[in-house]
Amino acid sequence: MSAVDQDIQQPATFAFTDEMMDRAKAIIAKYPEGRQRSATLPLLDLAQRQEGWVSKAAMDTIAEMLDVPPMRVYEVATFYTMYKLKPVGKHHIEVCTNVACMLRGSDEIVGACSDHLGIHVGETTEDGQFSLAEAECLGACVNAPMIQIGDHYYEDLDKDSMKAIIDTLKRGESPKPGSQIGRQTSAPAGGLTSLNTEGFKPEGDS
Amino acid sequence: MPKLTIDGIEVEVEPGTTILQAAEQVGVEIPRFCYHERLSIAGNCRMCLVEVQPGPPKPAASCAMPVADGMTVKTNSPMAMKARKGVMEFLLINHPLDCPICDQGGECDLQDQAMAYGADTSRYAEAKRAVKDKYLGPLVATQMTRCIHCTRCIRFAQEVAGVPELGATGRGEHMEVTNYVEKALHSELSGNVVDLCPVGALTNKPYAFNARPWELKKTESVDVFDAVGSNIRVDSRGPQVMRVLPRVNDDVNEEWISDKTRQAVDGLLRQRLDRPYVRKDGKLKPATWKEAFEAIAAKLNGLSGDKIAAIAGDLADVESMAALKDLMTGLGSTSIDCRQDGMKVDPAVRASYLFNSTVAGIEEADALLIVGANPRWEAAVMNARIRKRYLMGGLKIGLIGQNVDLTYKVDHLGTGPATLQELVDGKHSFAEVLKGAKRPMIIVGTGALMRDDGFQVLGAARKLADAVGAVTEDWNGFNVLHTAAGRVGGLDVGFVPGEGGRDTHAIVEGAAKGDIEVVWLHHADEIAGERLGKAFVIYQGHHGDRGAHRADVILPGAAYTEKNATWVNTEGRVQRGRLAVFPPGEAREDWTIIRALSEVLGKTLPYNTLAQLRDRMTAANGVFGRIDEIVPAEWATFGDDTPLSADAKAFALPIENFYMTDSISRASLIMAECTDVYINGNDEKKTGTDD
Amino acid sequence: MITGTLFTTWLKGEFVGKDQYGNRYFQERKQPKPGRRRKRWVLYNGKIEASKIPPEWHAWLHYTTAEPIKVDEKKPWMKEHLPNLSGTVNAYVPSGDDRRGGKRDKGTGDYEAWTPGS
Repeated sequence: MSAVDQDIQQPATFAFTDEMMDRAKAIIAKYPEGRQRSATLPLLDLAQRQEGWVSKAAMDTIAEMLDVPPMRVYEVATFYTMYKLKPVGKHHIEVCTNVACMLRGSDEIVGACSDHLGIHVGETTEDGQFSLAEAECLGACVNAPMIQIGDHYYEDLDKDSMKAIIDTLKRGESPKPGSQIGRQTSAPAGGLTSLNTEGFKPEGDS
Repeated sequence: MPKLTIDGIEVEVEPGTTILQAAEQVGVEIPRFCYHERLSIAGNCRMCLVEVQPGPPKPAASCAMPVADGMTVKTNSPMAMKARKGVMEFLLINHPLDCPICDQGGECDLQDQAMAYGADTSRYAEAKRAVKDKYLGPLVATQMTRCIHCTRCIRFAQEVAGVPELGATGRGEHMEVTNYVEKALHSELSGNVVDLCPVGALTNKPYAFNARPWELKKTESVDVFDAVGSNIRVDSRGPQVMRVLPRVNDDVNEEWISDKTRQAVDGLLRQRLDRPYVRKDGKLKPATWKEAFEAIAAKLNGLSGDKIAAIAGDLADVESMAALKDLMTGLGSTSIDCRQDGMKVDPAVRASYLFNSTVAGIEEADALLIVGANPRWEAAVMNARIRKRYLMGGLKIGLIGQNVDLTYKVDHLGTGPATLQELVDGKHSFAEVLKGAKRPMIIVGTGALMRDDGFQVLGAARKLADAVGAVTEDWNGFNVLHTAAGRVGGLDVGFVPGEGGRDTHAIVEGAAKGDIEVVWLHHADEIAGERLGKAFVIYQGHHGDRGAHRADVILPGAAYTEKNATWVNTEGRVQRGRLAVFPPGEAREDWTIIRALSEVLGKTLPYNTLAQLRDRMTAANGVFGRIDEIVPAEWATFGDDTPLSADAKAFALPIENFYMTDSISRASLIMAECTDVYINGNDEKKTGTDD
Repeated sequence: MITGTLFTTWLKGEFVGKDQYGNRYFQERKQPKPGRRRKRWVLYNGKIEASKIPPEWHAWLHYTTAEPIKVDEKKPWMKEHLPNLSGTVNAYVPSGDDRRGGKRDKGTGDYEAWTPGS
């Protein structure tokens, strides 16, 4: 992204909602006087939460709030891929396709999403509800394959559970985040393989 | 002070010096792209890798590594050579092989350094990346595929120009230098990014594909578009000035020049006066020099001196003013003036019209008051110097006059003379700031002095300077910022009303009434023709601008690139401009025209060569013998001590449009485009075939 | 010396061919001694002017080809041979020359002179 994309309808203005503004002010207040530009990242995040993506107007507004040249905000926003500079679906599905997930069948997950939503990677459904993207390693390899939607991870997926998550979202409900096969966080999938006897005591402790 | 050895040469340098700077001091060249001595250190091109001992066994970036005692630096060891070769190979991976169609060819750092330090072949067979070109305005062309991400332009815009509009978006392979919004770069110094760019990514748009550097004749000269007297190099091919580049002079312009200096030279090819004209039956007809001189002689014959007057304009050189003054004296006239805007200074006191602190002295100032000036437009390069001082910290700046964006923070104290009077009376809090400062500076602009109460403003500024202790033995904080290149020269050579003589205002008034019958407009284009009544107007100049239209006789002179001439900048620094190309057609160097005419008039001037004329100038005023030197001016009392009226109108600025201030820039098509983009605000990229 | 050449032609010459402009080409009648090649020469039709020789005969004359090149079929890109016209009225003059209207493209150093308006 080297320039404002001419194909995107950029909103003319941007303003934080009152609630977001309160949060923004609280964030800015964390930094010492004269170091307000440190709040660039969290403020961009707030803007993305409010709009679903970061528009140029939003970046300009943030630059003004932090008293930095707009260019400095553009630089930050374009540097991080998690800031969306184009509108994405309400539910932005990011499927990890790095090696661990790939070995555990992430291609199947991408395929399931594509089939179920009728879109390819990088596209948005016509109703604007879903968009699909491939992501690099999100650090949940133990529970591969996994996806991220918004703030939540959905792990230990297969075709069916993937479709179920999409359906739940379509109904307007929130699916349960985390492992979809019911294990606790990253505990062994087949139950405990060690430390499974009662009365374990560290050695030498009699 | 740390002592270190660089390539076997022992050197002792200031603590905090980087290895690269230390190497420069002993004459060892280390290749670099991102490092620039006037910008902050980025350390991102890695071209300056050298071997440093003691230290980790890997090459170190010499531009960013401070020296330490006992260091041994090897710039040509196998490790350093190999590192450079590798860096160069990486830089060339994504650099297109389009040198034959690149304007930077022949003066390209990447080309030169690839020759000197690179490998002879490429091992890269994969696809190269391509980057979309950006829009940076009418003066800078971009081919961003060639960019090597040294970020010099970004740092220049942020630090020197004070317009942080450039940046690097994206990361890794997708990093691009851009302004993101496709708008022109809003700076009067934007052209300097072209010189800074070590490759052909940013090139001179108006000069695109016009010439190769090795075809050009380089002439070192002086700029005349403002009164800073920036040192320039005029590059010409045959009879045409192709481009203007800055020359390094740390005392004046460092190595920057304004966009007008750089790009207005296309005006030298338009609207040129290339033959004499004489008005016959109400119409200007082409004439020979003889006819023109005879027409003047016929008019001047028997006319008493008090009916003759001369006004010298902004682009008049010292030699021709000296000759014209002698001629006027010969004709018995004392009504001569080099201040066509009517600015009020005291010609008898040199300190009253000089920028006494000097441009380099700005860096020593610790408080600054700007009165009725917009340095950003009136002296763009000097404004960069003020900003440099501002960025060093600890400089408080007050501004009286129009509140304009000067690229640094100022306290806007007020708009008119009333505020200045308050400061003089010590009633304003900023007076304390000036008093508390060790080296306070007061800059008075032309806008504050060209008013009817100009003498009072001058007096008030002088009183303020005295009151706050701005004038000491080694510091003079009183400064006048001129806008015209010929002004200080004219004042120094004494091109001012003599005994019983009229000043500009009185000359124009006299001409309107009929008291003055002959007016000689010497490069003077700012006098409205219709105000001169029925006077016989002789115009000497190089462009068919305002003055020529009203003239009865036109004597075609030479522009600043076409004559060997002396210019005095606002500091009082005497500098020599040199002839780069010859004047077009019948036009001649200005002083020779006056010398030739004097013979026809029977008042032959006593010099036949430029050297003789310069000797005469030096005899009249010693400063002309001291080229490139600052001669400190004696401090004295000047100006009108009457307090300024509290309800006097606000200070106006002398320049309405930075890009069009004189006959050359008004004739320039590029300056017209800049006016459209920057003044009229059409700064967005034009679409379709316009670009 | 044209007379000398005519004499040589009568004495030793063997006619080889004639081009479309009427220039006639000859070579020595006798086989030369070993180590020498047969002399080839031309008798011009009219004024003696080396550039009048068309390329196919030029090649033969300079021993580039053993036989004169036969042009059986004229290709569309082939142009009529034109002798050097320098010094004649048909000589080439650039478009900026007075003889061709004196109008030329803009060049370095061209300037626009000011003219007084009406």
